Amino acid sequence: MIFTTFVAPRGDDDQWQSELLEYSWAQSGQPGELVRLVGIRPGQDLPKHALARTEPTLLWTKHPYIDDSYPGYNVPAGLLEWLNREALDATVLLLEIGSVLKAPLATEVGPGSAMAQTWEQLPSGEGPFGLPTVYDPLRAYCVNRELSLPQVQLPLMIHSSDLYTLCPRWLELMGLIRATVDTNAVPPSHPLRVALAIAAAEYDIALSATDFSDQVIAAEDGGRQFIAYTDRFEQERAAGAHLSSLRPKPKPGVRQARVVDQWYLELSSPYGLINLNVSAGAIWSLCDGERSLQDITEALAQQYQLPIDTLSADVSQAAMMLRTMGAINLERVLP
Amino acid sequence: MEATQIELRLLLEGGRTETLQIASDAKELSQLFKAVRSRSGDVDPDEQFFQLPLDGGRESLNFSSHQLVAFTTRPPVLVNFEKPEPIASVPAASIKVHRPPCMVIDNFLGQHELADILAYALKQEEDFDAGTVIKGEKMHRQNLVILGFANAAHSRLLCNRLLTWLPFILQKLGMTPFPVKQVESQLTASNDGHYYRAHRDAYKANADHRTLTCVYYFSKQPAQFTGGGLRIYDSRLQGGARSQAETFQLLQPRANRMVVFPSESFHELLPIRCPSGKFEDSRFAVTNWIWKQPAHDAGAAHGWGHLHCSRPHDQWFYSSGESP
Repeated sequence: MIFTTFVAPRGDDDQWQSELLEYSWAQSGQPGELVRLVGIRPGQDLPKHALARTEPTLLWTKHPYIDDSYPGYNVPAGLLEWLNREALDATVLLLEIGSVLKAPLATEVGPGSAMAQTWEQLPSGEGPFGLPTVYDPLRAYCVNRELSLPQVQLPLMIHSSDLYTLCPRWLELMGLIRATVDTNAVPPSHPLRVALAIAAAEYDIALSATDFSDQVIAAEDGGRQFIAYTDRFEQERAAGAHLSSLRPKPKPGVRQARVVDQWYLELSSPYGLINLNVSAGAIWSLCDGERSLQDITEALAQQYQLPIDTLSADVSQAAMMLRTMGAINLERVLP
Repeated sequence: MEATQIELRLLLEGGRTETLQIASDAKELSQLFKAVRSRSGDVDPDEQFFQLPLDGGRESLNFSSHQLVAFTTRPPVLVNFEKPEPIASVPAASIKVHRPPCMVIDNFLGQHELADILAYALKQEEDFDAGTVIKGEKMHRQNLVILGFANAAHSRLLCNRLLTWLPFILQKLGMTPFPVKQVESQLTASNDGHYYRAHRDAYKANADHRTLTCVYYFSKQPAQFTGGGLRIYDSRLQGGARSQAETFQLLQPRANRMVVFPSESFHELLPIRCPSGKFEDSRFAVTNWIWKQPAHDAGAAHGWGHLHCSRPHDQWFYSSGESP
């Protein structure tokens, strides 16, 4: 299972970039699930997506201890909170907001075999870890300053257990760089990237430098060229065509009971115990991890002698509701 | 009845005798009585193994129940095996058993940091001292403590990492984010026969006191000791009172593991067996106690390790439903 993940707070600019990434995820045929981690304040609404699952996280744009504003904090903080909540044993493909998938990255990785995009411009000098001397303040916070850093940046393809180990130090180092290093002498993207490289080296997590340019267009390389696709995406979404390849699978730990025509589900999410109406129950009973939403629609159309067009929207809506409540995952099936 | 100190004289096979001090309510004393009684064959004849600390925990006396011939106590201790002390007559329905939340974080430090903190601890051997006696009860605790660890760079290293984790730990434990008043830090070494009986680190929740207990374990690999598990006991809640229940969670002191739980929880360090008795083979632990700032004091600066910065920002203090 591959969780394609990106971190995007709540905002108009983030929303269109998220939808673009979502569209490219669908178009590319990337397997698994798409997850958007959204830093929000309690009580705020989560942004809506047709395909991506949205997970709320604490907003770290402003660092809680050093009172520093830097959007990069949201990346390791959001990931750590998500992995803390949802114990995964899976591959995580971490993309930057604004990037676009051109082709699937379908190779799963195990613990200890992470890959990340090559960053040939990793700064070098006479400072700690072979970095420029502007990073000298880090000497006070790092035990072994002679470690060799991997020349990598996002996207990152990594096992969830390695990512969970990495994130706290990644977050901590980012704060230390922002608080102690002269940020005027460092490009804005560097605290995030340099902190990732140091954390990986310190935790002995090998990040092999890989060229993902055939599969991913990075944000800074002109992801906006894909915005023209959004109109087509909207048309497809309205027709429900994008759902055909999604396969609903009950989440582990969900307990179910059927009393006459009523389905009762016990969820580990805050929704707790829910009961489904007859229609939702009929859909739930077909969510076996094997059938796609299209298969379910066709099966119900045959069973109840209803037109597929009418049922398609109902099935999509019920599937989205079940996912929001934490009853199912929606995985993408490779064609 | 309050516990008092008993002088215990053990008579072992081969004519060996040992005299030591023990609390009148010590679990070991009760076990000794049972062991002697079992020699008469009318109770469980299973053999028991005893580990009793001598010389402030620098030695331990180890023997099996079959080696025990007899023992004397001064003053006399009378035991009635036939009539166990009745449990207070409380309606069972009014007692609730609460399992304290806890969080285990493995691979807490990087491998280089782990090696470095172990090297640091080994260098400090001469600065370790016998663990402090709690509430005047000798035998309550046996281990070695290094004083002044809080000022060491390695203390700050752990403290920074812990404070980075803190918002996520609080979420996992179901606690509301709070401003930190201070972080206490202590380094201990536990060797053969060492233990720390069930106790609490704080006696009132949410007070101006220790709020979270965070224990970080490290040792030489492979570990040269066995035992030393951490028991976190469930609490029996009755009215406003909290007492220790019999049920517990048992966590092993795996190297590079951090265990976090509310300081008001009863917990116990089980006895350690370290056959070599060498200091370097000890089970080391850094205990951090995170204190909560009682009032929302905007002027309070409690520092992020050595960064000396301000409290968590306001938005984390809003609970769901409150306006930000």
